[in-house]
Amino acid sequence: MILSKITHKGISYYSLHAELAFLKADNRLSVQIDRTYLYGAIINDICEDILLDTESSIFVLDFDGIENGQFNVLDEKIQELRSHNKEIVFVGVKDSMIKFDSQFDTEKKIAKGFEGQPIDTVFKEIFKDRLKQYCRKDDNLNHSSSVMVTAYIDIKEFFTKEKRFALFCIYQLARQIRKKEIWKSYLEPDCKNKPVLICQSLNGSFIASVLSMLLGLDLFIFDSIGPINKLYRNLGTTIELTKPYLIVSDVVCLGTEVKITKNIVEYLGGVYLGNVSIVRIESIKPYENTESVYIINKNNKNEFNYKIKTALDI
Amino acid sequence: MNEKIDNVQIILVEDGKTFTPFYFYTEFLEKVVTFYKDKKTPDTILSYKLTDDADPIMGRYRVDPIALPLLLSLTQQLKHNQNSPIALELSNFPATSKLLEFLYRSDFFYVAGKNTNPTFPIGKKLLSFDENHIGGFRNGNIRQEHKIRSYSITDDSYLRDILATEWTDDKKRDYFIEYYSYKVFEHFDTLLQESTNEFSSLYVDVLSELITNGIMHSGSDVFALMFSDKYSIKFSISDNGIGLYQSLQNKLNFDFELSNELFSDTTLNLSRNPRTESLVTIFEALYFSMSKKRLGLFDLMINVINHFSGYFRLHNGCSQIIFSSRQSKELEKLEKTRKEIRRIFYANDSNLCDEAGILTKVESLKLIGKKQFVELFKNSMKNYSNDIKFSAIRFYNVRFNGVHIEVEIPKQ
Repeated sequence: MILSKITHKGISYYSLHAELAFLKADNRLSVQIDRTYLYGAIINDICEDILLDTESSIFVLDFDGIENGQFNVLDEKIQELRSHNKEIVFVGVKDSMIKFDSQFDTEKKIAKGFEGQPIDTVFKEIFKDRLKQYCRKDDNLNHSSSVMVTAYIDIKEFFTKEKRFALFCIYQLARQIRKKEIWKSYLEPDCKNKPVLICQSLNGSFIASVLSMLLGLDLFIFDSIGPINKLYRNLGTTIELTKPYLIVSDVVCLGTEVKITKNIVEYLGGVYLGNVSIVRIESIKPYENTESVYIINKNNKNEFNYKIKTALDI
Repeated sequence: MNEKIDNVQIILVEDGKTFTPFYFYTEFLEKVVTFYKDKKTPDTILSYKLTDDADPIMGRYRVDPIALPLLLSLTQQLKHNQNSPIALELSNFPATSKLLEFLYRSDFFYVAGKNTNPTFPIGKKLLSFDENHIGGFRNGNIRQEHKIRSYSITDDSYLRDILATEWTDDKKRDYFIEYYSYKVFEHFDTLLQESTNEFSSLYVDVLSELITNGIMHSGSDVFALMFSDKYSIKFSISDNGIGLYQSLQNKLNFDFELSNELFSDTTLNLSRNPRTESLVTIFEALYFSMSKKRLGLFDLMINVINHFSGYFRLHNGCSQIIFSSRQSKELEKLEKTRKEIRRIFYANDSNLCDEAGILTKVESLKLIGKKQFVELFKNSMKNYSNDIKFSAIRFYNVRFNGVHIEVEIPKQ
């Protein structure tokens, strides 16, 4: 299952670590972000995909996050691909990998004088282009706060139509969470007090369920908070005392629902760790404890036609 | 019990004497051999006694975990000889309880016994013992993650099918390595998570490569253990298959270039005997691995020593070689040659692409490599004649079948 492939200006990018995170072994899908050992099965899958691809001229393999692997398979396959005149570029090769396979040391990382760039640099661009397609004009009043948002980002449609890319987006989010300094101690493998992912919408629960597998965290679904505000039932026993909670949402606009959930969590004795989302609107005061795949700010708001209007603007 | 059957007991762990691999090769194997020499009637049966119980209260009974795969390999050979599991007498005294607990927690009794419960490792029925003696532990500070594992082609019909396919050897090997790297992650998960990514990926390499080697070459069971203490991580992988010489001989047109060179070298003046032959075979196997296109045993050894300053001990027949940073001068030269060889094999230049060109280039590099191996051998031998105790080479009196590898990597 190739899910990280991105084609941009005739160049195809693959993130090996993302493929490794969604590993199909023994006919079972096993999702985990901590793997660093590149299995032969993944190399075979990617090479098959490259062989079938007749449109791209250069293929970039992003090794970021890989430490070691079945390099015998890799060397063999790369040689095979090159004999089929496929131009392969390696990026993100760690110095420590050269210890395991001296082949990474050679000039062959580069093809046609093109050094390649990490997949992350083109990911944002591609994400924006695809997201735009699922951005609709909207004139209705926002449900949770009394404002009007001129565009509606339909994450549900986006994720349904681009299933693989959606998984790759969630993988990107998981990596960002992993890298975040203030959450690091909570995500160590031997941490006794691991955070619980908490979500308050259907889209959020999909994202949270994939995240929980990737990061190995518990999941708690807090239904009926947003977007349509309902009465909270049974607030009692569901939130554990002193347990850290990480709120997962699809799109954070004004953050009303996040704040409601945060209040409930804190009122019941839990610890609010922060908020993660796929898309977030940049806030005036930057929050330290938030993470998102894409941020809409004043530079790119026009591309989405995104505007938050109050009664003063209308 | 039938009284008529003669039963000679061999004690495994003596008071104050740790059961280490060195003890195993030098003293324990001697004991076993003595038993077979003194054996009067064919009905005499060998059995083990875990501890000598000379001091049941204050005695010190210890086993170096990395000796356990060796013990299991040997026991498997003895069982094969005797056609029945080896009896093991256990005694649970204050002094021995900790040892029993360690063996229990490491799954030793499951692997060696007759366990059929799939929650635990399936027993290989190597030993028969009274399970009533196992228990009553004080729950000391024994780490639960130090498990002994057995890997076997006979257990897994799926792998047997793969082995029977028409795939090339390399493809099978890749498949096996992949299969065992999944297994290794499953079996040694906790220990792997404790180390940094760079180190744990080396450990997976070590285990999956060596287990695959054992399984594919010997066709027998492989016993493996990973052990971590304050200073280092140790691996012990042991099989009792056909050994290096036989598996090299099974290769098509294998002509033992390095062996012939070493035995005909006048300055070395090496006489052919089982000890020197088994030693030279180790070098031959490494030389063969070095001249191949694929990464293999040689690259693993070089990596352990040159990049992780570890130890690599390989026992074959009745000799053992211990590679460490003391040979790094020679090994670094070899690494350079190896890099060249790999570069030629994977060269992408069009003027180099014809196979004959590649082969002649590799042949000339192999000659250089051979010279470097001869130098390595000579220097190791020189140390052996100067100071046997600290030498990289060890000769043992008893021949022990199979290939037994111990790898030790210091923690930084």
